[in-house]
Amino acid sequence: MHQALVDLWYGFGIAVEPHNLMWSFVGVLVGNLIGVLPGMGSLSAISILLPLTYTMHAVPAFLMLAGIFYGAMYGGAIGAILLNLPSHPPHAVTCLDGYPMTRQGRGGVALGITMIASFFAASFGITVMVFASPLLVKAALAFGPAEIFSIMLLGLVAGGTMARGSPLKGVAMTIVGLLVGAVGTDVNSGVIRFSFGLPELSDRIDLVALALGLFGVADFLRSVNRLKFIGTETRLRLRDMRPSMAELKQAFPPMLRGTLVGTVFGAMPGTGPTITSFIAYALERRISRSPQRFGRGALEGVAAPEAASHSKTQVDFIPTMSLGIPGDAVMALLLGALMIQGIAPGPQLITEHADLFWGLIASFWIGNVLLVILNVPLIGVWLKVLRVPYRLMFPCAMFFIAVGVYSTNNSLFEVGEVLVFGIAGAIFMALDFALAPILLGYVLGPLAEENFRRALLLSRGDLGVFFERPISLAFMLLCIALVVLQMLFAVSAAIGKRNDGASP
Amino acid sequence: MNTMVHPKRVVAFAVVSLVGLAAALPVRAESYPDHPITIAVPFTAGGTTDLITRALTDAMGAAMHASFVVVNWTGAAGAVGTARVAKARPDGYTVGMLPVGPLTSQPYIQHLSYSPESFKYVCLVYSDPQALVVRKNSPFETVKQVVDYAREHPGKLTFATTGAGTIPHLGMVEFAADAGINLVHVPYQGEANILTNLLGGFVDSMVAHPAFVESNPDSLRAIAVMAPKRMPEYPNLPTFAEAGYPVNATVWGGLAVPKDTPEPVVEKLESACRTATSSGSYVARLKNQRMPQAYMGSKEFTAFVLSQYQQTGKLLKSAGMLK
Amino acid sequence: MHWLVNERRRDYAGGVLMIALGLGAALQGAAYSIGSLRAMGPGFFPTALGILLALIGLAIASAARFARDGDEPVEAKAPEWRGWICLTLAIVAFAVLGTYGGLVPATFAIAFISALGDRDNRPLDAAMLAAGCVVIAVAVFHWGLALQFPLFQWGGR
Repeated sequence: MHQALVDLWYGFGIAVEPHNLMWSFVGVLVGNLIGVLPGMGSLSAISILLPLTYTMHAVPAFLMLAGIFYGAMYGGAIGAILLNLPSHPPHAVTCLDGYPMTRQGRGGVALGITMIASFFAASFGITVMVFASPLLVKAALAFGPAEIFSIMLLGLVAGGTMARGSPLKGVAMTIVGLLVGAVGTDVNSGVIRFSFGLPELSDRIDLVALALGLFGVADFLRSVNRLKFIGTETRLRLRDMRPSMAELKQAFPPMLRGTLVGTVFGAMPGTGPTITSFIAYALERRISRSPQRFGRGALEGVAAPEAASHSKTQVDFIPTMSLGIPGDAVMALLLGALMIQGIAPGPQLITEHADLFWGLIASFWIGNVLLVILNVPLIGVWLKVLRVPYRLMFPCAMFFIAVGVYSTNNSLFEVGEVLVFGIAGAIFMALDFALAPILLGYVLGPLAEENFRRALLLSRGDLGVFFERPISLAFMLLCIALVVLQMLFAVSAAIGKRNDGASP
Repeated sequence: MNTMVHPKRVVAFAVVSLVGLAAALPVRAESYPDHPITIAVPFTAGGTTDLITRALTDAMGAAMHASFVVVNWTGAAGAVGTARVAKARPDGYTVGMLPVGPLTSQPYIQHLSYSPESFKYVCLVYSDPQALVVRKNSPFETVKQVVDYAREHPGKLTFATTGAGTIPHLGMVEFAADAGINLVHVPYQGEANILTNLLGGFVDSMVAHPAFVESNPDSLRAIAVMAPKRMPEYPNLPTFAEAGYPVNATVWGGLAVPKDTPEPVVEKLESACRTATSSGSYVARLKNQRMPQAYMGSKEFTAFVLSQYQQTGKLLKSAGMLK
Repeated sequence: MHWLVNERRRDYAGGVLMIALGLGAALQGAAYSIGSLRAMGPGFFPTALGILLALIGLAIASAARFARDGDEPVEAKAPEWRGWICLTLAIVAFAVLGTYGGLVPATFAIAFISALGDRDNRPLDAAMLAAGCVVIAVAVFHWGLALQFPLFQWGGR
């Protein structure tokens, strides 16, 4: 404990060295600006800018990349909340309530809460990372295939019914998402599924293309010629943009819960921030006394998933740095950046390159402070985007989406995917289907399938494996309880409806 | 909205148009290269193949007084970028850094527009044999112990790889067939997930390159490497061949051009590649990044690719994975 | 699509669509090997999911007759064919021109054609907007971010 504090102090010393601080700031600023562009997530920001760091020294290079990373993440929230464009997939969840808030003229409040939630969660995540990382790594080892499958199943069951509207339709969309997730090469057999002869489809459908198609293009197709402005027509005063004390109080418990969800998932490799934010949202809606507000601009629906994805992201650095294994594609890129510098990731990194490791941790916190300082005045600027008439806004957004999706993999095929999912999404919306569960199914599906098959492979086909191991059993019981509750609600609602009809 | 109008834009248009025109002119081998050469990597920036390519192009640029542009054409486990290289204009200005998977495995697994015969091979630049890896406290010390245990307990011993049909998987298929044992293959998506499950005790072993063990020395141990002879970097690591199972599972890659590229152009690239891979700064840079190094010239590389292609076909067939 | 203003009809159509998607997925999934519980084949999950989706579609369609008419705010608007056609063409144009023309023509096309999808935009407005996007494409993406996308190219790659 004492040693951690000494090391951290040393790290702060490194991070506030003027040239290091400068690169950190450059990273945060550039990341923030790129992240705001629709379609440009942290993945594309880092993959585009990575070659620039090849000639830099290790510490400033890495501080800058980390700055770009969380700058872009925060910038992505701005596009998600104001324009319904989730360029960083975890923000698809933020869209669900953030965009309705914008439509009601509360976009500034949503941005403010996002900023506070991400700062709080990141600070918490960093603290955990400094003091409890060995514990979390150990805990993560207890999760085998059966446990991961049970958690994924819980996420699917809880998340499938989370969107507004009919639960049955929510489940249907979750399954559609699971099927979309099955496109591509099956890890277990190497067989390519649902590719229809196109080699591009032998990798999975691109997550960014899917999210921007379903949320961006589908929404344009529904709104073109019908919408003049995105926000309300009333002019906003600066005072209205800041969350009030009451709103802060309302947002705090969800923020805390979201942070904890993110921390728990943080050390588990293979579970990305998207899954984490979905689960935080589903949890928040489950325990809310008024779940019907969700999807219509509930503040909790913004605070919890944002906190979850930020704390998850910070804690994610534990497996990345200490085991030398990346939790997701962005982490893999950051590891690549380390290796370019001739630094081999792994447990010895912390001792061999203490300046880098502790400087990085300190810079996380400094970077998050910089983000807050940068964005308090910028919120007003971002809100001005809403004054651009819709007829000019959406063609620009179309361009940004196309270039952004292209930039992730330099693939025009994926731009075509955006169109397909845009049209499919618009048709589903016209038929009263909510779209978020598709994304949930897509993200969780492959993990659920892989781990299900892996668990049965290891148990020699014995389904009991999901109920014999205590952690798995607990999650399985929760799933069953949720399904039973959902059915009871449905039956009682149906009875209530019939009674209403009988005695008008 | 931030709209900067820059006078330099006009100049850039003119320059870009000129470069475009130059590309349309017929190839003259004597003047090759007179404009930047594009090196296509079929995987994303920051991965092993990309890092080696960037080190290589820096060194080759110095050797042949040319500039190189590295592009990442990703998709379909490398098959998309490889297909684009095969279809590129055969003028030496599009060169692929093509790894083993898209060259010798994917043509068997997917329906593709290219085969290993679609290229002329310039030089092989890296080669990374795979090893059987266990937990540090695992009872298995030698290949013989593994075989003996597996003979007594058929279908019990598990090994994890990064997917069916990958080089690590095929290596183990070959080993199991040679030794006449029955092992359970547990495929994963990425080494991250394997490592947690290996350390958590859910699987018994994994296949990875020895550097992976080196970066986790407290928790992992390599049993033997699937290479014809011991690796100079790891002299204490025995081979499978020493135990009597001459298994070879190596991840490799090198430069290749479309097959109609003129011979003098290939020779120029080959000689630059030879100079580059033996230059001190290149060797030091890759060593520093713990990247595997190797070299084969055009002739040797071509024969190697074709023999690997045959061998992979046989293994994929015995694994039941032909398309 | 005009008749979709009625919630019951929307549910019928939605249910039928899900049945069609589910059966399609199940049929295609069954073409891959199903395997056993111990060694599950690649067809197991898609087939099971497809059947489940079709069943849920059936439930949605049959529950439709309980749905009440017209007490929800409904959308009584004709579909926006002009918008749909323009946005679709815009993305197709971006992909095609991106392959055969380069970043500049592709950018101009996507912004210009999508802008024409809005009745309030005159062609001149659309062209100016598209020109603005081209400037951003060149300044921010090409110069600023060094995006791997040539500004101009002829005859594909």
